[in-house]
Amino acid sequence: MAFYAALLIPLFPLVAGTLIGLFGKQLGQQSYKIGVPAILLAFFSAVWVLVTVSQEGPIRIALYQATGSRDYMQLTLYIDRLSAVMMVLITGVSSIVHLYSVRYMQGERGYARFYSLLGLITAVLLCLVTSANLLMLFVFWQLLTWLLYLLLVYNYEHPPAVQFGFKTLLVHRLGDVAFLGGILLAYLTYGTLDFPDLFARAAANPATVPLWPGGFEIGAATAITLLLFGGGMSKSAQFPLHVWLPDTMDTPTPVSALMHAGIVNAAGFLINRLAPLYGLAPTTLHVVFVIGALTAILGAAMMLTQSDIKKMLGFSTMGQMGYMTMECGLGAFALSIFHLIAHGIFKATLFLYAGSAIHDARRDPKFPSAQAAEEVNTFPRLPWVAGLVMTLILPLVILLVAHGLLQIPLRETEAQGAIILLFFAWVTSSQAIISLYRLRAVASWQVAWVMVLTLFAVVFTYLWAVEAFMLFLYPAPGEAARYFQAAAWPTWMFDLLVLAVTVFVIAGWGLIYADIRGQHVPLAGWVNTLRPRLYMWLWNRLYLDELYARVADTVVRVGRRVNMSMPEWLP
Amino acid sequence: MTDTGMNLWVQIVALPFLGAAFSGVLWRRPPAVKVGALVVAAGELLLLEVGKPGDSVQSFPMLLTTVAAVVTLLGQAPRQKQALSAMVLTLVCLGLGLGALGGEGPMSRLCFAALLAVVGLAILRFGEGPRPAIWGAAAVAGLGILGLSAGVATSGTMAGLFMLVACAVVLPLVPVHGAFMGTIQHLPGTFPAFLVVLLPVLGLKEAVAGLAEMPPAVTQGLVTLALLGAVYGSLTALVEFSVTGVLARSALVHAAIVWWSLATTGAGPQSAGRYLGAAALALSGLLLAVNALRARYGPDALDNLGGLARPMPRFGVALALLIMAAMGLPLFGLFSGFMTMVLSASSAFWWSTVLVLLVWFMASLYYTLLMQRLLFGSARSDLHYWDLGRAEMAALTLVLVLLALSGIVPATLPEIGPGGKMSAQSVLHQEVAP
Repeated sequence: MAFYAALLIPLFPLVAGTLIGLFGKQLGQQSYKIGVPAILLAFFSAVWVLVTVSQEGPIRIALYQATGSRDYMQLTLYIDRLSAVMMVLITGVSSIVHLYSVRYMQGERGYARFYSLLGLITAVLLCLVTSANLLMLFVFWQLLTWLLYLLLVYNYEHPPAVQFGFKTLLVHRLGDVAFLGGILLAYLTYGTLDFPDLFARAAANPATVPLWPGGFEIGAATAITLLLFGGGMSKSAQFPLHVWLPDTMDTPTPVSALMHAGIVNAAGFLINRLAPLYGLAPTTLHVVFVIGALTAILGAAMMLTQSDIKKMLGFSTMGQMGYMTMECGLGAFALSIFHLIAHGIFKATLFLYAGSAIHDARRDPKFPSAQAAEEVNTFPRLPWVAGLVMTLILPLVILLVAHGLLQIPLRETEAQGAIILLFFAWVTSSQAIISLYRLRAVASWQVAWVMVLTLFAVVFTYLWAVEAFMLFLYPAPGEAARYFQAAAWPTWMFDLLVLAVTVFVIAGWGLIYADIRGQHVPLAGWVNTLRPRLYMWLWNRLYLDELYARVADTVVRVGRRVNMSMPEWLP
Repeated sequence: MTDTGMNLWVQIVALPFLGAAFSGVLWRRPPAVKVGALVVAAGELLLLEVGKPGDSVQSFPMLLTTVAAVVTLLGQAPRQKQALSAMVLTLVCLGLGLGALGGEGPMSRLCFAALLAVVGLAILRFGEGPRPAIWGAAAVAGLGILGLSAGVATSGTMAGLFMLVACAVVLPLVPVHGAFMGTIQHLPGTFPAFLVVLLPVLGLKEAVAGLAEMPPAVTQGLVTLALLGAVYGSLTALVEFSVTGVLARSALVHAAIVWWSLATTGAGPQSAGRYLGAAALALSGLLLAVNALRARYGPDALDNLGGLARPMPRFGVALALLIMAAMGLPLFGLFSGFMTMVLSASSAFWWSTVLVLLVWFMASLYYTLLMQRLLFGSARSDLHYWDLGRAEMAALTLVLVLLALSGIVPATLPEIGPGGKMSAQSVLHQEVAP
């Protein structure tokens, strides 16, 4: 039965999307009556399949298989625990978006088109996460690019929507080219695109490929994973391919919710799906970490300089995706899935609530009601000290574990895993505690205790809940530990990283202190000169959009020049 | 060729000519001419199916060409200016094209040359716009005829080279791409939508035979010309203003990719044929859609239309799907053809593969820009809009179905050109791992 349920999961939204697309004119504002039941059925089926797969093992459904020289052409669904978890997430978020849109989109001229595209994109996402080979994954990867573009240009009479939709398509197609390059290299090197065969052959054959004929050679697994990651970078808005994400706010709110909660997670899923291959490419994992870290830092920094709330949310997603990619880069593959689930639910809620708030504001001009700002003139010493101490406990623990002076009793992932999990627990709890302090800075033991509890909750979640999830996704003995080992950095480098983040955290608390006390922070002259410049650079998104526009203009200019230089008789 | 084969070949060539001659009787009743032409094309299909000339390798290009004729005749609005000429020319070229595709030796070459002559004369007769462009296109068609003649007169490598020149005229390759681009931009009605299938298919058939005997220097030269054409076509398509101009340049890019594949894989035409068939069909569909606009608003208004998605929703959906197919997205034959082609590319030419991937990326840009320009934004208020009619919709649906079939079950379709037989099994089975 689970076999049929697994088959029906993508089929429900696919059929619904197609039916609404074909009979949209007749269905009109009633289109949700097909879309909503279909996605709910898909969701319940996904939950059932998750339970079954957890107990009985993966399900493989071969739908089409070419033989002979083109045996790579196959349509096979492969549902393991990772796919099943992703299916539940996708159908869950899509169900919420479907239900929310019933009233939110009511009265829109493109109501049926919206539901049709929503059903189709859900089906494509479901097929993507159940792909059993690289070619099938690429097929749905590209369909996702196209359907996302069509959703983004939903308001196609509105020029900015079309302009930014095209920008998104351009960036995603660039990623598609890199992805295809990875596929070609994988096929030329290993002669297969089927996941199990590919992983086995890559592990057995440490082939190398030259960067140019007769030139420097790099590992084939490294080259392939780097190219595939290029595809993931565009979908998950990684620096410098992030430029599309903050501009996609002309689309209806439910689309933003689906995009920020589901579609941008593609890189995290991709790396997890290809984990055995990425585990063979430590260099790629280091690159992934650096790209992720840059994206996280720049996303958060650019968010701080934005005045448009929706753009801020866009940059916030970019930062979170960077964070998720960093986790992958450190070998914490399952943690990235845990993160994307949490972020997906959180962002969907945020966007949908934003949509409701905008609707309310349109109805009631006095909304939101002005609240009396509570001025705090005194410096709340207790929570400040508590916050500082709480955020500095973890780096100490991390360094102790890293140097073998402390043992964390984890079941599978050993010391390396514990360090990575603690590292992310530290960053997350620091963020939470500083946010808490900024929101509720009153001198009370209650606030201090909440900070302590936050720290413990975060550490508990990361160490034990995430570890349990890790074992759920990667049940083979030693598998998760192997990925941590592959991504491991030299100890001195890791110490340096921890120290750098510690300095950063202390500086943060110091600035908060100075800000509240109204004290002047003595900074060097060059720092004072740099600050406004840095602000302008971040506010202008590092001028990357301008740079890309200039490149595009150059290509067009070259095209025109070539066209003009040809004689009239030679078109 | 046996007597039976010869008889069948004569019937296949003669039937469209009879249809064209019969059209003269019905000249004052364009709808009747359309029905008559459709009956002839359908009869041709029946003849091909019943007679089965040659093996599947030989008959599939003929079948594809005849289906293209049916589709383009179906999509032709009978009251459009020069519609009668377009339909008659389609029938004439169908006869000559099938003669060239199904014939052997001098008969095939004769039909090929006659086809080039008809195309060249048609460009001269119907071509509007700058005269140098018209004369240039016709001259290139003439060059193709010269190539064919010289190919017959000489032997060995020289003959092969001359034949390749003729092939490069119909399967456009820089610098002899002018005639093909002229057919797309200057010929009337849906006739270009037919030629965009017939000419490249014919070119591929002849090129495959010629390339096998070429020395490596020639294939290297072909790779260079193909890449030059692909980059040139892509760059100029990005900046081209005319709608048909964009399609002509994109056709040049598709053909260049086919030449690249043929030259780099040696004798590996099956993947190139799959790609070419799908690309030709997609372009044919796009030209049909564009002609539907030209039939309504005239050729001058074509380049100033926009915002059609709202007033012409059926047209909008069809165009979006055709663009999707033409830019090589999955579910359509072009994607599976492209994948087969690049996966069988020789690693010795890896740098050229990188260039082909970039060209593939650029295709998604100019095709999408074209779609945005026609469909999105606000519609002009000074025009009265009416959506696609039944016949036009049927023609476009047929093209889309063929493209989807070749994309969804690619391995079950026969090949254009010699190649290994494929088998496919559609199975539904379950494996539960412990």
